[in-house]
Amino acid sequence: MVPARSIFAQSDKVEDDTPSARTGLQYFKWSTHMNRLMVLLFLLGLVVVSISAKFFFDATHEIQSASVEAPGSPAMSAALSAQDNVGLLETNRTRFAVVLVITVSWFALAMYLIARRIVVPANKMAVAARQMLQGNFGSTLPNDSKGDLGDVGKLLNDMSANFQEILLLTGTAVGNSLAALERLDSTVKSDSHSSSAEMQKHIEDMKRHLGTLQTMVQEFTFYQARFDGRAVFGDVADTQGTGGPAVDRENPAMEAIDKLVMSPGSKPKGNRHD
Amino acid sequence: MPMRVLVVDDSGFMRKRIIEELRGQGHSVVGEAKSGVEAIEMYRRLRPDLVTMDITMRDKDGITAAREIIGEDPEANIVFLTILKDEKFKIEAEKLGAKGFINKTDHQSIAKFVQEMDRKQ
Repeated sequence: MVPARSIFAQSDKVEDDTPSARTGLQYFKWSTHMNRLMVLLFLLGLVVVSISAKFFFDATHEIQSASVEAPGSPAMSAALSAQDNVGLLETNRTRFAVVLVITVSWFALAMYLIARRIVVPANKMAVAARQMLQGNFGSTLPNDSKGDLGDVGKLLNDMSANFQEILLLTGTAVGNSLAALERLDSTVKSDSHSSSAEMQKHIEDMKRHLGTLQTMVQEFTFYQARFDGRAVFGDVADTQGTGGPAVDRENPAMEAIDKLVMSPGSKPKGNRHD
Repeated sequence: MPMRVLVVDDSGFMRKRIIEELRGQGHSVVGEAKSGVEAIEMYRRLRPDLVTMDITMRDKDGITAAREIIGEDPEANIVFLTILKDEKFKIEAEKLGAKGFINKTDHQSIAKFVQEMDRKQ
């Protein structure tokens, strides 16, 4: 069996558009409003840390000063009146208020950025994926998302484009095959003036269109297997002369597919792959 | 002499098929674009000998992209590879000055066209 290869395998000439490839100037160009907000968030965090550190060292210094002066000076101890205590408490309250306001702002900005950068794009992706799951491939994600989530969104769009191409190809091949079959049917039903060459032409048309489908299917790897183009299902003639469907018996996945064989008048059981 | 080809198609697996076809003939695929916008940008940068262009794509369709490319470079060699058989697209492609309009599943016709283009180069 041919080794499985990703259908998304890229040529070696393709530009690497992964986040890891974006460096230096490229990253700067890629930088968006959201990235600048992230930098602002980081700077705000630094301010919180700096102010907290300053308050901590100020308080430490005041405690040390009080500890040094108080023991040797009874007058100093007496001077620590209730008014001084109130002043000290008010100073500390102001400091805590400043730290609290900055911290709350920091968290609010962080939550806003997380929501804008992760939650909203993730929700959009979920909506688009759900619509695709329901068969609506016209739904695509806007290209405004940047970063890793943006890359996932682009991949989702690319997958959607792939599905649409497969559907278009399948629909065209099936439609053309049916048209050829109808022509053949008309030819057979009409009087015997039609030549076998004409019928052969319709059959060749069908084979060509179905061949397109077969070639396409062979491009893909699924159920951890790859169809090799031979007949698989039981109601198809045994092309190998092995007395059964031509599947890779050593491959459990292909055996699983084989079990889905639809015998005349029955339906595959217990699966969603019909 | 091998041609330098830019492949434009929004479907990854279709690009892969076209690229394999072209490489099988000994040509060099210098770039892949998955939208009309990318195609124009890559054409400006790469100046390929031939562009294989899909028609239905997001962002910008193949007809519009080809019109812009030919507007900038009237010597551009563009062939439309599409599954659509709509006659209006074919007429539009001819009007634009495209070098061909081929069913993308018809590998024989693609191979023949590319060989002819190669001979003319």
